[in-house]
Amino acid sequence: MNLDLRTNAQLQIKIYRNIKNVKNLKQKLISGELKCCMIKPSLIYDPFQIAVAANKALASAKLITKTIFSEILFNLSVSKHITRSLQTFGIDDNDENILVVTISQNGEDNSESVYSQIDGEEVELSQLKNLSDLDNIKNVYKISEKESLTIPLIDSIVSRIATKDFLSH
Amino acid sequence: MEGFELIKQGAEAKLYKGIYLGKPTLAKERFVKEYRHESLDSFLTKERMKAESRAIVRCKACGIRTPALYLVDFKRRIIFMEYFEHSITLKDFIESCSSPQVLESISFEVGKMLGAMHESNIMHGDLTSSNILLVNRDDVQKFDDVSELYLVFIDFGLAQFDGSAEDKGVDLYVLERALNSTHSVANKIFPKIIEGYRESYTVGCKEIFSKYEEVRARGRKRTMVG
Ligand SMILES: Nc1ncnc2c1ncn2[C@@H]1O[C@H](COP(=O)(O)OP(=O)(O)OP(=O)(O)O)[C@@H](O)[C@H]1O
Ligand SMILES: [Mg+2]
Repeated sequence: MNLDLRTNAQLQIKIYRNIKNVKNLKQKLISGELKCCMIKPSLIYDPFQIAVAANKALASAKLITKTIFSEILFNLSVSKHITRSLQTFGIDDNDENILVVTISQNGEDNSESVYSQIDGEEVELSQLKNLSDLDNIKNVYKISEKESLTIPLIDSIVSRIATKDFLSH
Repeated sequence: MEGFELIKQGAEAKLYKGIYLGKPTLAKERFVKEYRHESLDSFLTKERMKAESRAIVRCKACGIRTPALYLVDFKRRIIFMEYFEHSITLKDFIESCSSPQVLESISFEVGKMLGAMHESNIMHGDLTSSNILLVNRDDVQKFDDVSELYLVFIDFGLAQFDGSAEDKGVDLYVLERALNSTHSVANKIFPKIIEGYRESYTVGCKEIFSKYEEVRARGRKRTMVG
């Protein structure tokens, strides 16, 4: 998917299940060897949620966190607390399913080198709906019953992401 | 604005329509006011953009539909938000509607939402029939069956959140004036809006109505004199 034209960037999102080497992947994420963002699918309702968070990261002049990938995790969260945000949306050692987000920019794309290190099975992105945990999502984004009754969940989520830097949610 | 087409040039902002992140999007770009000092101008613009976004998000929290926000870019002075392709303004709807019952029921709904908005201390600031949209739920360009439509509030650039009874009264008065100057059937619509408002805003709306009457009396006097 194309992000804001000014960023010259595209986003790729894939889902993997039954991952055998999460611990190893996590280490490589921390060391910076893996140039991607790995997210808990249970907290993602729709890929568009990631698009809005990634676009915000790429469109902003300066990053709050260290890398563009941690910035995506941070933007996904409505908390202004960096460590807590990365913990909430990032993967744990005992996660079996993960969303992998890579960015190609100015024609440069290294997503294949990321995918080759994942020991697990890729499934269709449409499988996401079986992995998202709606109650937990509403909880994390502080969406009340009243709101979710009439407002499409994705609208509530992306509008909070878009305003997290200047509103408290 | 590459990939976007200009659809409206207002007093404060230019509105563009295009596809952004794969979705139909409205980009609202506030332009620089040359007569203002540069840093004051960007400060005021940023404050307006924050107020507009805050109102949009807070309306959702009380169950009122508003455009979804995609990106708030203070540097470019643009808010990227959901564009409702299959929509008509309440203004056009009222003008083309021939059924008094339909007008009454829509007006009642508008009033209910307005009551909920005020109860949550959100003052729209620029209530007119062009700042309310009716959107078809099934993504078709058809507006003759109310049961297929939902209401969306837009254009919160003048929103406020202090929530005094006076401000709420003014909000109502602004709407009444706007309806009176736009629609010959205004006298059928506004009372229904107030009826809906009373139904949803149950506690504390008495004071608002007395402020509204005060503001209205002042407004009348002003128009009689001037
Ligand atoms: N999100 C949207 N989806 C569809 N149409 C929209 C949207 N936002 C605005 N419009 C259309 O554009 C018109 C003007 O929008 P808006 O009120 O936000 O701008 P404005 O510059 O403040 O205009 P005005 O001065 O007339 O109030 C609306 O009356 C409506 O017809
Ligand atoms: Mg308007």
